[in-house]
Amino acid sequence: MEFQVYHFDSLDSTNNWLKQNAVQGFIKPGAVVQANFQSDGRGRLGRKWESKSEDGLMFSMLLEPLLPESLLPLIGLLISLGMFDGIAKEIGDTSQLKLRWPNDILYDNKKLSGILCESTHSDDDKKLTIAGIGLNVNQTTADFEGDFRTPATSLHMITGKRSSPAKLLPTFLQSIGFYLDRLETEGWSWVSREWIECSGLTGEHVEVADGNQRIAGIVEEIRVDGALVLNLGRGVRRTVRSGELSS
Amino acid sequence: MDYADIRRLVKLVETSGISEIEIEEGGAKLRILKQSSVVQQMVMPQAAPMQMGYTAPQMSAPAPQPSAPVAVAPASKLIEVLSPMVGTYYKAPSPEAPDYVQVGDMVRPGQVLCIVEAMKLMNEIESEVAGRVVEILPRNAQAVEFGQLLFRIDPS
Repeated sequence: MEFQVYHFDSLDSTNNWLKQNAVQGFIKPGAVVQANFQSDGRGRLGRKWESKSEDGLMFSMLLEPLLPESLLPLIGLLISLGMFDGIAKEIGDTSQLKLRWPNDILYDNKKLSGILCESTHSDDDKKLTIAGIGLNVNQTTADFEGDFRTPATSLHMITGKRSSPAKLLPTFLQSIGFYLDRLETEGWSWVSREWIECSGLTGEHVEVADGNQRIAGIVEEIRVDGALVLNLGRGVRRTVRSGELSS
Repeated sequence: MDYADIRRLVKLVETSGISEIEIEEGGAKLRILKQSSVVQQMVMPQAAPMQMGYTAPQMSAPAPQPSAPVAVAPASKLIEVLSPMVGTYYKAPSPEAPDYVQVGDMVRPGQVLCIVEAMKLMNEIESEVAGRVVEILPRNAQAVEFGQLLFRIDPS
């Protein structure tokens, strides 16, 4: 897959920039935008994604509609496979690295990377998928003091090295591009299977919080559409499609 | 069974006298139906006891993907907007933000009506027609199924 990369020193949000330009037809699928600083980076349900200049790698990708609309959520799982490979290459040790459903990456149970995808339509009615990706790069322990939902870590805290986020981008575009190419040539049926193998989540006891609801159970499988199937005990199974997972 | 296999099966059904084929393999079920000149594929995981309902993801080749399934209610001229995927319905982009639409609002084609989220993918559901929002059926943060009725819009 070929990417056209746009770099900015500062943006309100890479997802917003990509969305506004894509909706009006100014950029095409394969466009990637990276900003050294986001003043208004957002996570799920509008939660703020903290960042200072050059602390994190924050980029968004405009993607072809490679999946039927009912299976679009698989795209976040697929991109997390690419981020996992890219991070493994950077840190050289995967023993503490794991995927957390649906698409976070943790190191030593601390959040290192997160993904939020959006789907919308262009003004000429084409379906657009935008993936926003964040990776903690140069933050220190002091940067993560305060009220974080999940303890966080950074590449710097793991390896002791500081890196330029812009210089890291090609590594991650290559590793994500590998999986996007496979989606184009092989279809989608392998995505959930490879994700669950990579996550090692099968058989783990987990808790999913969604709003005021909490569900705890043993992970049985990830369905072909990416949904998490939990065994709650006494023969009761529950399929989960949203929420925050903890183990 | 991978995408290439599915394509081969679709081709087989297209070029043969077969009107329908159904295959189960590795927990996935594939059903291909030939209806006049249109070939439809449906792929669904096998049903499991005591889990939330799941309706088959659907691909119609080569028709373009609509922004959301739309049906005309038979007893009136109201347009029904249906959920294009299984997920959680959100009436606003964040808990603090105003609702995308409220009952009585006039909407235009392409206007965002709500979000359906699954697995951190926020899918904007848009109106395909101009009209007035007559009814909003789900509650905020409610789980919705594929094809579930979300809105009724009066285009008149």
